[in-house]
Amino acid sequence: METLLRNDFTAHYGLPTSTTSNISISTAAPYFEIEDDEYREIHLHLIPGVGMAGYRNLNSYAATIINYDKFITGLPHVFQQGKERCDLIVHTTNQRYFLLNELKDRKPKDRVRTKSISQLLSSLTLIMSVPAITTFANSHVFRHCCFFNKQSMSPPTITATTAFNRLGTIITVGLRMSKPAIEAFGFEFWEYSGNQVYNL
Amino acid sequence: MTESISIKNLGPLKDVHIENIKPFTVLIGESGSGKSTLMKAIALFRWIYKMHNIRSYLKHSKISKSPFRFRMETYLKNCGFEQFIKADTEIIYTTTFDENRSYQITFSKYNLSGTGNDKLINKDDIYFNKVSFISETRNIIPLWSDKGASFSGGYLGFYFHEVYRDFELASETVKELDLKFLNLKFAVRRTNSGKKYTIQSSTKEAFEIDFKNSSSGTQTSVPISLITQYFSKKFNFEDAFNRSVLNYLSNTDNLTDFKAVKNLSEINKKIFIHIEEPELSLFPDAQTQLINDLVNKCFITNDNSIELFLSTHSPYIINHLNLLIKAFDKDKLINGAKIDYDNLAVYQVVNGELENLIAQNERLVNTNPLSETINNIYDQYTALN
Repeated sequence: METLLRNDFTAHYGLPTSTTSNISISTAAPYFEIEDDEYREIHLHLIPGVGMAGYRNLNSYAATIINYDKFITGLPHVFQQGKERCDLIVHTTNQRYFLLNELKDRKPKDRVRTKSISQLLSSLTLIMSVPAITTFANSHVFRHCCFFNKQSMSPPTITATTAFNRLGTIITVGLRMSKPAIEAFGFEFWEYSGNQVYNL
Repeated sequence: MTESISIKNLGPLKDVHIENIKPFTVLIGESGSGKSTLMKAIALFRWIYKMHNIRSYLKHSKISKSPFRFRMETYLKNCGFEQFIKADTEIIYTTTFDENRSYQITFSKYNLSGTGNDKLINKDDIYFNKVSFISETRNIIPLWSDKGASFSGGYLGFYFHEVYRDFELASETVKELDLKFLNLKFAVRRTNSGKKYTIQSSTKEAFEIDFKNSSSGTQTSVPISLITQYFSKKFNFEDAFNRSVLNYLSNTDNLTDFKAVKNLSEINKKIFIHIEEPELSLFPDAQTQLINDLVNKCFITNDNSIELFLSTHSPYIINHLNLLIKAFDKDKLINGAKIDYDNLAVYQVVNGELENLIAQNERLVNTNPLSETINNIYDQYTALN
């Protein structure tokens, strides 16, 4: 997928081949979390509770995590201007999973969810316009757009946020929500909050 | 009968589509997001469809002269839509029956279509419906019922007088009402000066006060509970039918021409109740108890077929729906209430569009978006450390 982005994506949109460094990392760890920082770099954590998106990978599938946000940001300014982008593209080399990820910013923001969905949809629209990427994405069994919303923490003496976020503890996998614009691409929209993790 | 609605460019609503309006539909969203606009538009088109049904019934019953005209300009004014209507405003309301027979009423380019004599509803598909809209202005009812006589000619807006009329109608029939969600009772007394509404305790500490002196939460929730009880159990379709149909015929000397295509007992009937902000002035626990009361009246102990449509600002109410779905799945009742997941729709109105909050892979409502405010509060709290 990294090659498709660097070569086919850029060629499709009439851009020079991307030379942005370090846009992907790979792992086959049975559990991992992904965190993106304020410098648009992504970090992999193998212990729960540190990252924003959690993945359970009990079959040890080889997963590649592409920093899509960093890739787009490395393209000419005139192209990326006004284009919303999600954070990551995660796929497994056995062609089972092809996932777009948006990780919630840690700073308080209004309408984070709506913006995240919009970012995912814009990214999906952009990459699925590239025939080679469409073919590659459609060759995967599970094609999902995932919004990960790290649960906020209350001060220790107040459990209000825990109470309001109880749903995230009742359902350990994410929630699939109706999103016709995403479904039109043959993808499903899934939402994860708190301790909910994606099961590869 | 299934209903769908599409709305484009109506005030705050940019592009809204509900493919199948479920028997219990709830809207949540910020102030000014368009919840009320959407609910009013649906209620209006349900009412137009009701009148089109009556017109079709009369036509099928050999009444040749058109019974009435649709005055869209007046209806839009009543809804407060005057400033919302533009050249590109479009509202399409569709009902679909077996074998894909469907009827469509469209408002587009300032014109209403689909209600003409060439678009009559098939006699087998005719419904006799009642449409009720319990507006947020219901909190004026206690004062108006106490002082209204001295304000003859006073006008507090279309929706207030709609809900007041239903309240009056309901209180003619329902003389006592348990308000379990408040541990109170509502009673209607006949006095020399007319009807008197009182609130009584339902506990050992007996007291009775005038309705107008009761708490604000009592004043806003009694009309909901009373009107719902009335439509659920006491609404007399025959009287309503006579008022709508036969009175018209006798007024126009058409009664002799009338050859009823169907008796009322053979006609499908449905009651549509729309409620703005059921939570008004209620503590969260009472909000959830009121929802139990509503669900019980509309879907558990009802004699009449009811469809319920709510708009709310309350995350408590939306979270409570999950409990009632679970109760249904476990075949249990929570204070007399349970909700079938398949009959429920919950939408968040955002940026002029609808977000479907019903999870597709679990039988529950996704309340995560409604936790954003509490998260933000404590994220900011933490940031100050």
